[in-house]
Amino acid sequence: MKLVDKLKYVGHTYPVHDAYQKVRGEVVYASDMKLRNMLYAKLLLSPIAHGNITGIDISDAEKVPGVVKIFSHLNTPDRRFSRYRIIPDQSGCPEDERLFTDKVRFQGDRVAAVVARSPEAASKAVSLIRVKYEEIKPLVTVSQALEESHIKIHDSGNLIQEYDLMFGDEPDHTDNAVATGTTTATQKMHHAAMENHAYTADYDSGGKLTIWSSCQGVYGVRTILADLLDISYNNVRVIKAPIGGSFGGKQEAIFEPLVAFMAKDLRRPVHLALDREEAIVATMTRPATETTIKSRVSDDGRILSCDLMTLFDAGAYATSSIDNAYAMAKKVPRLYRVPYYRHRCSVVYTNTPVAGGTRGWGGPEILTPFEIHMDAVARDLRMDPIELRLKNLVHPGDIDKATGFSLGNARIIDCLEKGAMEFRWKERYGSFPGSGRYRRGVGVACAAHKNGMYGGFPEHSTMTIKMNEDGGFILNACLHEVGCGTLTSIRLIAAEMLDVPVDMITVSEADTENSPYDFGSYGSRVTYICGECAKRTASLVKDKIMNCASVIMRTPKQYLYAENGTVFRINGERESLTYREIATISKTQNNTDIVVTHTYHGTSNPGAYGAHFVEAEVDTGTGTVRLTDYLAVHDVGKAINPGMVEGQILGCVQMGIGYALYEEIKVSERGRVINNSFKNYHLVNAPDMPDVRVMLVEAGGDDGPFEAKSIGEVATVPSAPAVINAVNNAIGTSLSDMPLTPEKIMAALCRAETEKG
Amino acid sequence: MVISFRVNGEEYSMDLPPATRLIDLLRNNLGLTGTKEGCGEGECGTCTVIMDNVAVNSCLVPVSQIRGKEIMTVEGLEKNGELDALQDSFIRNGAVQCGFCTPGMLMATKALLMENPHPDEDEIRVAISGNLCRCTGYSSIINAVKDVAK
Amino acid sequence: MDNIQVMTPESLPELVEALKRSTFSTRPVAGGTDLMISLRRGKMGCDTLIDLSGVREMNFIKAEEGFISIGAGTTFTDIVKSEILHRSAISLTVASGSIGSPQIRNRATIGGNIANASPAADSIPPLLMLEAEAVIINSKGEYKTVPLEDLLVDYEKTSLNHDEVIVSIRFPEPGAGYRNAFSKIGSRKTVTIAKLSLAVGGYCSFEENRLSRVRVALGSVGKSARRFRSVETFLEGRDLSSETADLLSETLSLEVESAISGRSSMPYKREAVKALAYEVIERLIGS
Repeated sequence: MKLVDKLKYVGHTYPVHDAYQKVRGEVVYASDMKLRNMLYAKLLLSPIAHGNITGIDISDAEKVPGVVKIFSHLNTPDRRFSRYRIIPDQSGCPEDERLFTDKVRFQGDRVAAVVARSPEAASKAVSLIRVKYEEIKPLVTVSQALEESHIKIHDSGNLIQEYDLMFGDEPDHTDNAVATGTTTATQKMHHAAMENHAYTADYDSGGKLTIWSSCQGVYGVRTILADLLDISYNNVRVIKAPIGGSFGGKQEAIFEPLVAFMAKDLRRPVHLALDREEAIVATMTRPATETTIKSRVSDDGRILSCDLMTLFDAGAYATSSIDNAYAMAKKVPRLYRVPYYRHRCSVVYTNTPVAGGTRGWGGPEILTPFEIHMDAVARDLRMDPIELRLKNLVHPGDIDKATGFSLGNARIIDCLEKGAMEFRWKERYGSFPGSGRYRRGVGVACAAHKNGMYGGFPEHSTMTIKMNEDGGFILNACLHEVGCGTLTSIRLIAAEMLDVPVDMITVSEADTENSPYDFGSYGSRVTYICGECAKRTASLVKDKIMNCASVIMRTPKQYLYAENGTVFRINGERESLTYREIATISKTQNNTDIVVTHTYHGTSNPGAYGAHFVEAEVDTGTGTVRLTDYLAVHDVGKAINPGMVEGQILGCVQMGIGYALYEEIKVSERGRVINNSFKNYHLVNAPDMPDVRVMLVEAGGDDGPFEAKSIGEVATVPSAPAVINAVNNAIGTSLSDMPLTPEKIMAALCRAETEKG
Repeated sequence: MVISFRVNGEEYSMDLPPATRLIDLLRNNLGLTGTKEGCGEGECGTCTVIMDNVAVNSCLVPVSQIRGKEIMTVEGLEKNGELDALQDSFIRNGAVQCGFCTPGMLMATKALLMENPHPDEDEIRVAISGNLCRCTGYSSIINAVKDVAK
Repeated sequence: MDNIQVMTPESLPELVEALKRSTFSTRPVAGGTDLMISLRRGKMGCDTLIDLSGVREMNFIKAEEGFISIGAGTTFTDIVKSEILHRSAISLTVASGSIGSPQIRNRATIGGNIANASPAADSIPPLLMLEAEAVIINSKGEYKTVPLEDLLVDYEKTSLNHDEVIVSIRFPEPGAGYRNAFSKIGSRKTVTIAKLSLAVGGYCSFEENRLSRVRVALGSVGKSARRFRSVETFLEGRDLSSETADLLSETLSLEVESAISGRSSMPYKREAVKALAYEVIERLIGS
């Protein structure tokens, strides 16, 4: 029997660690924080998309009672920084922004901030600041920014980076190849964590800066703040506050530098909490992209070559866009066996809200176009889309062409085959969509993602486990719970290894002063890397416990075994010592503390996979879409906490459907964000959310804890293309301009009608 | 304006600027930060509280309109140190992830159950149609309510 | 918002006293579901509110003297639950049920929805179709009755004076054989602002199956919701049938096309209104 078959904690469903406190409303989130003597900041964001600031008049604003100080480019340093950087001297991080800008580059750029004794006074004063702008023509699309390159958004020009990556050898010309071309536009999307970004910073008389941040990586924030403000790292303390969701939107140090600077300047605590409009406009968005794909496929359905060209809209500042765009190029070879794959990409500044990493990190941006393309190929070949995919998907043990590493136990074929059975794909795919007002169609899409950053970036995590006198444990880690149940997963892993009840283990969250080093909660790395670190650290602690027990019981280790928090002697008269006795005796009599610090570094990066199956009903009268069936199948290796795995998948689907059908931050020709509110930026709500069935493929086989792989990002990748493919299947279109709004669907139906004559 | 009202069974009489939003009264004056703000315009439902037995968005209620009213927030769900059955069901069904929508979801569904103890699934979906969640895809929340509504 | 004064009349006489002190920067507030947002955005030059929520005489639904009257302070939740309205003006019930979320319907009032005069206000097309009138009180305590059509003058603009408040809405109680229906398109199924809405009402007995005294109103077409008299004339005397639905959809499509020609939303609305026509006729047949 394998170890994983008799697990006590891992593989069983547990709630998030603080669910009890959350249902009582007692968790103090970043936006709930209040310190003694705290001041409130309110931002003045640019109302125009592009222009030079020629004057800032604060004379009226200053008079508002309660105003403490007004900051702008006039009284803050012009030192540049990258909000995305997470380690010192990181490449690919253009330092193109400053605390407050003297030239606004998008509607929402930081012009000034008022710090006051009350939020009301700060808001009032902001409304009284008068700013003069010398407007410059805004460049709101990538093609505009490239064509009108004489108008420079940054001094360096509008093109941030270009790449041309090729994997494999260009094949000889094959006569029986079918050439297919598609172009797909993906849109800017709001992360829409329910809690908007919030920060509290304090600077004490000893010269220490402390910031409580709704962030996903404290050490990344620290390196940016310390270097920007010239403070030694030991005097910058970043504490991750409880977060109401992130989805990548809190991955970068967007406002931490500002709040830290203001607190340091005023030597008082400063709190900044964004409102929804600010979060939509002035934080980050999923990048808008346009990808043209040309493929050649043999007439029996084997991909011979793919040539992709992507225009990547970085928005007004570069932040993560270079890395994000590179990540896009590496997704397709993780999913399909493509003998020759070429991806060219231009990453371009525009005068629009800033693009940044968003759940799936390039995956949705490139695999949505690719999976739409695969359906187009299937149409050209008159082949079932699943049959086509099965001929090309990667197999377990395949080598990732982009990195040269193994894809591990890649079980995407299992996902697709099992899902197709469960969904009754064969029967439904061929069936008539109907000729009345409502037409039904089915769609499928596959996705691949990664497990951590190994292969492209340093990848390690450190944890300390301390045994308490009563036999319980403190697991000290740099974890960032953002609503995924991370702390619970880590606890389950440690509990399993140490064989103690889950509530005997406390897992701590990230605090640069107390936590060992870790990069943070992104890159689909937490379960795979941090989870394995927890497992190994716990295993080392267990060794140490056994050693101590051996000394106390005067029995060689090989004659001892542990069960349920107690160490027994094999074949003894049930002679035993509880963990409590071992811990206490070791500490009080043997001068031994049971504590282990361990650094685990990843050495692999297998694929995480999934396939989604959707049935969509299109109302040809109004162009609205209703999803009538949804199945998500995922290769997760092993589900550590199955209930939460399902939660991750369902949340991903909610986001994916929004990406396919509803959500778009719309920018006008003048660069104004048209929908800066939940009134006109619609998320999928409960009545529109389909019932989603979830199937897990748990085949293990890789290096994660209990052979688990990532899920929180990959599950959003196949959702949008599956929905789009279902819509296209229902109404016989090949729509690829996202999102598929009723307006676009109706226009396509009308075009089809006209063509039919 | 001196305004008298009850929150979670406790009586208050306070002198307040009358256009103050109920959410600000709860969070800033009474320290009841369980009630969250996600949009400030009645679209996300995180600020939902129960006022005289119906769910309202506390970000849209001026305190001049709570005169003589009984308000219940998430902090008032628990009775005698015991979680309300709905709170317990949310935990058991995995309906809590980041937890930021949770107080509003609890209050919207509590109001539903107070009026209709046995709602069907469609009624539950409508009851939370004004409460957004980015984590759960709603299904665990709907299941949590169903469990209590049985 | 700290320095905004609020008057809290609890009866109509007290409301009149409050209106006496009303200036151009005074605004009435009922459910607050729209006003509180505008106030917070600071987009409203407003220093005083008249809080109508305490006025006892403004919360009722009753049928008397040939009219159905609804107090302006009645919430949409109460409207949705009203037996009287369900019986005689189902289109208003349906439209009211499609407004916002339960939380919004628990607070938003019919008077507020009208006074806001949004072209997308869900309650307005059925009320126009029902030939509703607003009963208005002023600072002298005088009442007047203004047809809703005349009250809605422009985009988010009514003919109400700053010292006037809507106290109730009334419409003639429909008689036997009256049928009416409402349908709307938003970008979500629920909690969505109408992209387009349609209300049709008229008399049609089962025996004759012929429409008479037809009223048609559309929302979200132009600056304010309004009646389309040419469509009413077109439907007059026709039977309730799928042929009529075909004809109505074409007619409405042309009307929408000319009403908002040149707007970017026109091509969509011109098509989508056809679906609304079919839905509404189907509901009329089924009622």
